Amino acid sequence: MSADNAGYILAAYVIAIAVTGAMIVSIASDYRALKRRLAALPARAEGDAET
Amino acid sequence: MGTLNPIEKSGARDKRETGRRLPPTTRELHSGCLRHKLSPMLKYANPTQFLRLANGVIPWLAALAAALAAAGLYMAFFTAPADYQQGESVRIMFIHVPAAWLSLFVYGVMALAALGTLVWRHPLADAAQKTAAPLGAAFTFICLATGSLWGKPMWGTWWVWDARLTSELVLLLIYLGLAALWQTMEEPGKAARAAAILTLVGAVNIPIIKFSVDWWNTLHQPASVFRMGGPKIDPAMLWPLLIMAVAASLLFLTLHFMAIRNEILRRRLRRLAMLAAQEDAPARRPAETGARSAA
Repeated sequence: MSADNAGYILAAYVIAIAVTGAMIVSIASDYRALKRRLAALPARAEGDAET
Repeated sequence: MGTLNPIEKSGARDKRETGRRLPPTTRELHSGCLRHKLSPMLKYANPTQFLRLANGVIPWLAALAAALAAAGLYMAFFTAPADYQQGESVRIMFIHVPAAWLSLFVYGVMALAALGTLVWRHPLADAAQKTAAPLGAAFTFICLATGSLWGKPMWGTWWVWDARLTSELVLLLIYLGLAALWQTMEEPGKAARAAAILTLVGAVNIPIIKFSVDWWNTLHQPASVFRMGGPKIDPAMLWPLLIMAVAASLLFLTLHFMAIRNEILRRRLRRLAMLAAQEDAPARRPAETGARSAA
């Protein structure tokens, strides 16, 4: 593997992993925040919003 | 005149009196033959049922995607040989090609969801459509960025305005436009319909991307896997490519399920906040009236 091409290959994999990781982290943190906000609301209304 | 029992209230009475069958009521839809036929759709049209399914399926999909990605990456770096023309740069193909396939596949999913929104009015179709757009944009971005990083050492340029690259860039812009459309419209129903129409109009770009390399003279090479006469790449490279493609598809499914689950929770949260506001309003009104009369 020539040095130049190794840099391109590394950059391609770093970009792919970074974008994928960002997607995973953003969706997972959104889920955690939503669960926290739902838990903070009064439980009485939970049944009304089931569907 | 006696009171009618539930069955008398439904279509049975009308049929007896008028001699023709009226459209089934919701009660009839949920019991008997129609329910049996539509049961899978009805079952997962219910967000609570979908949440149950998603919570069960997501860990398995994620584990399978991770295992396949690990196997695919190992094969891509350690068992696949270097290409006789591209050399080691061919290893970029193991992420570029699955990302390119996914960019088209996600749009197909969105087009189906758009049909679900406009034709069948499936309650989860608009959530599926809304949440797929950012994922599709991410896969398209990976495809374009890794393609550019492959193009520089192979073609001697980061970018050319050939039909394949340009149509793929248009796809990225469509994804970003759709994601922005959801943010700009306040009423979710209107946004869903507008996004569905735009998605179906944008679907014309998909065959253009796929066949651009056949219709026009492009710098981008023609299809080497999905082509008449079968794949023309060596099995030592084809297998890691296919494994990475399945891993990427499973990753998309996992993230899509997770994002739809988030969207359901967001809508539930909005509804709960509205309920809370409605309950607070009557309590606040007499106090405001009292304050006004005192003034």
